[in-house]
Amino acid sequence: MTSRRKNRRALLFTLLAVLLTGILSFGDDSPLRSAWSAVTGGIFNLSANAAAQLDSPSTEELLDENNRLKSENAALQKALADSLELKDENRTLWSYFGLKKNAPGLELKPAFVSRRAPTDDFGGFSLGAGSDLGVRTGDAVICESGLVGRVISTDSFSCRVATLLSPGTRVAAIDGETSDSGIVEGHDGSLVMTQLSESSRVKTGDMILTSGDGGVYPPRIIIGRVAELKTDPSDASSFAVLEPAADFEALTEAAVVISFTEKGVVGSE
Amino acid sequence: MLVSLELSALYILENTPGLIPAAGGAKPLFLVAAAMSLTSDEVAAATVYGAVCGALTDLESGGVGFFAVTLALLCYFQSTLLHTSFRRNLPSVWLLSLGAAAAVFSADFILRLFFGTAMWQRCLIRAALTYLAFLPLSVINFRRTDDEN
Repeated sequence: MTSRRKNRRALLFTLLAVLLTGILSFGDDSPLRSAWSAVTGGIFNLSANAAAQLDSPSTEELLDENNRLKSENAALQKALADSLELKDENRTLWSYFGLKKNAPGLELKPAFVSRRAPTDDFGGFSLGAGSDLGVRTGDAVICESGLVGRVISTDSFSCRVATLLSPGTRVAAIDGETSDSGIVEGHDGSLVMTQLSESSRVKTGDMILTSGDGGVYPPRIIIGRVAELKTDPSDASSFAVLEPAADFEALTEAAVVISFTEKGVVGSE
Repeated sequence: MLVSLELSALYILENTPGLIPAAGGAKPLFLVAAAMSLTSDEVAAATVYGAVCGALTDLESGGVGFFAVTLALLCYFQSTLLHTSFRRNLPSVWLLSLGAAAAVFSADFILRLFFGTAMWQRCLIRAALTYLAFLPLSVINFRRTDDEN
């Protein structure tokens, strides 16, 4: 009897502790999550770097590719050379050269992927950049290949990112070749472009870009390519299945878009 | 001390990107497996281990809640059953954990349905992988608690 009472008391106490922890852990910049990120951030940086080394390219290949980029991108190199190591400078030059040409007012905060929750079925991850570096909930996240998703929560030292595949992530998009507009969203683990007009000329292989409408995502960021065109049997509307430009599961680093020229501007008629 | 090291290692293993490859888009939840394997310990201890493992799983999902409460309750009931109604041996642990795993992943699936993020194939694969990860952990932790007793 005594043992049973003791166990019940232990259960009650545990549930109360869980409730209190739960209350303290929800919301942006929660003190508990910030403290946890501060404590575990270093460990995960080490382990993530160790895991990334398993299949990284050789130093010699990186140096050769880097030398070739330097001769083509002198202006960008000067801006980035102070803050990036040689290996990061090479990869980032490729991505930032293309992105900055399209959106001159883009301000980016690059960071490494520090954690991946196994409970996330849509490739979501945590980046080692938090509210202390100006990251806010709702900020777009991009990588060298294109759009990744958006920040869904932050603490002082890290932020959680939901990819384009996550239900609830909707992006105003445009076909780069036909200028047809639509909405890109995740559906059952795939990326689809819906709300295409009846006269839409979208075809397989077309590149889909962000339109910038709504002021949430910067314009002209690559989302993916049209892999297949389908018809919804429920309302006979057509939609496109996209091949995402970014490989969400394989990402080791990304950049948070802190600000861009059209941020917060709704509509671009 | 050993349990703390075990849970810390599993936490890092589970959340480090690129270490554990996905199978069918899903990965095992090592902390859930650890919680189920620790039910051979005392009831109070098993309850706390369940809550801690659940809280660590929840932290990476955005906030402590579902797994912390579910695992605390399941580990409490599983450990109680193991110490009162079942013989305290490995097959009993495996059988009870099979039921616990079915319960926690079913509840997880229903919660995901509510939020519109459920994909039953991945939930099923995740449950199966977690149970596979649980089997060796159960042997290790059962032998440890046997030695301590």
